[in-house]
Amino acid sequence: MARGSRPARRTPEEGRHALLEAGRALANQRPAPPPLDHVRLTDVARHAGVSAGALYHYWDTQDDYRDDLLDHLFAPERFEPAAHVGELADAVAGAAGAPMPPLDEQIRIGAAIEFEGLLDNPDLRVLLALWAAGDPAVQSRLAGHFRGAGRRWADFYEDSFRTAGVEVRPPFTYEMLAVLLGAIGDGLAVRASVEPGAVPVDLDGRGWGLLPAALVSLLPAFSRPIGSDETFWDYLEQFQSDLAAVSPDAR
Amino acid sequence: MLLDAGRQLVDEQPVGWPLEHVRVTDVAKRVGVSVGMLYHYWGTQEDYRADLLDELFSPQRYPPTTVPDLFDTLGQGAAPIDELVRLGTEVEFRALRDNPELRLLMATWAADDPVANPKIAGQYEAVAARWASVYEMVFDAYGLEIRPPFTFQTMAALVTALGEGLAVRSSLDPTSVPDDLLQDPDGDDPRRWGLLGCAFLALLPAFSRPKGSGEDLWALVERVQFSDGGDAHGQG
Repeated sequence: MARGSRPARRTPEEGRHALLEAGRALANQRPAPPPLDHVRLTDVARHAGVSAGALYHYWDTQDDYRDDLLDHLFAPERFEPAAHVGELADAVAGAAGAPMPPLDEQIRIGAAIEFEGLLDNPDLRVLLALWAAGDPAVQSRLAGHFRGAGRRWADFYEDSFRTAGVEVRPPFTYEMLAVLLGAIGDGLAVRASVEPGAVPVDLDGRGWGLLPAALVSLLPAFSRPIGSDETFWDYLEQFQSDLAAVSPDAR
Repeated sequence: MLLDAGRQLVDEQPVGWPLEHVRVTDVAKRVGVSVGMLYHYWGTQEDYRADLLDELFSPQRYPPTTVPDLFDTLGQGAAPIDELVRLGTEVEFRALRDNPELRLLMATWAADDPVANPKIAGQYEAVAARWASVYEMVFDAYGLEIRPPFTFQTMAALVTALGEGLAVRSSLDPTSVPDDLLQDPDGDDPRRWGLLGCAFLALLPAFSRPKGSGEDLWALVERVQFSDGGDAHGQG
C-alpha cells in the first residue's frame, strides 16, 4: 500500500470505517456459514458414545452425514401438530363434559399455549439459521417444510372454524390464515426471546397475551358466519364507512 | 441414533457463532489494504468481529422508511386510509424481503449469543419506536387514537413480527404469501393487495378507535359475531 496511491489519503477514522463497511458487505453477502458447517463428526461420535470410525461405517464423508442430518431435521413427524392439536383442544375445552368455551376464549388459551411452546422450542432457531444461510438445496427443503406445516395448521383452523359456526372469508383461504398466524408467532417469538417486555403475556390483567390478542383482532376480517356471502372487501367497505361516520372532518 | 445425536447438537447450537465466517483477510482484501493495516486498529480477529457486530446492529443503521413521504404524497390524511395501508405495506414488505440484513439478523439471533442478544434487542427497540411515532402521526391525521390495551409499541411489535415472518416465508415460497389479491374481482378496479396489507387492515379496527370513543378491545370483541358464547371476560 504505497502512500499516495490513492487520490486522498484516509484518516485513521476513515480507514477504520472502511474496514467495518467491508465487513458489513461481506456479512450481507453471506449472513451465515453454510448450514450445519459447525456440526463435526468427532463431536457427533462423542455425543453418541461411539468412535468416529463407527460413523464412517455409515457415511463416507462429513458432508454425506450432514446431508442425511438435514433430512432428519426436516422429518415431518417432528413438526406434526396433530398430537398437540388434541392437547390444545383438551386444554381449551376445560373440564371433561363442560361445554366448549366461546371462540375468543379458545383463542386466548390456545394461542398462549402455542406461543409458550414456540419460545421453548429450539426448532425455530434451527429453521431460521438454515434460512439465513440461503443455501439453495436447503431452501427447497425449508419451503417443503413450511408448506407441510401450513397445510396441517390449515386443517386445524378449518375444523376450529366449523365448530364455531364460521368459515374463512374470501379471498382468504385457510392456507393463507396458517401462513399469517405462523408468521406472527415466529416473529413475536424472536422478539420475545431477546426482549421479553416487548411481547407482553398479559396486556391488561385479563390474561390476554399479545399473540392471542392479535388473533382475536384478526378474526372478524378473516371469518364470516357459515353460508354468508361477505368477502373481505365488504368488510373493508364497512370499515371505511364507520370511519367516515365518526370523523367527517378527517377527509 | 447417530442422526439423533447430530440433531441434539444442532438443537444446542443451531448455527456457527455470529460472524465466525467473516475473516479479516477477506475484509482487508476487499478494502485493498494489508491485514497488518487492519491489525493496526484491532488487536485480534475477535476484536474486529465485536466491533462489526456493534456496527451491524447499531440502532442508527436501520434503513429509513418511505411511509412518511407516502403519507405526505397522499395529502396527510386526505386519501382513504386503506390506500395508505395498501401502498405503504407493499413498499415496506418488498424492502424487507429484499434486505439481506434480515438474514443476518436471523442468523445472529439463531446463535443465541449473550453478547449479540442485547444488540439485537436494541435495534428492535429503535425500529419499534420509529414505527410507533409513524403510526401515531397517521392515526392523528385520521381522527383515530390507539385502542387499549394495545399501545403504539405493541402495535409496532406485532406488525414488525408479521412482516418478518411473512418475508421469510415469501422468500422460500413466493406463492404462499400472495401479493395480488384483486380488490374488485368482477369490476375494473385494478387495485391489488398483498397479504401483509390485508392483515394490517384487518387489524386496524382493533388497533384504533375514533378519538374520544373510550371503547377498548374487549368491548369490540363482544360486538363481533363469533362471541355468541356470551360474556367470556366478565366485563362489558
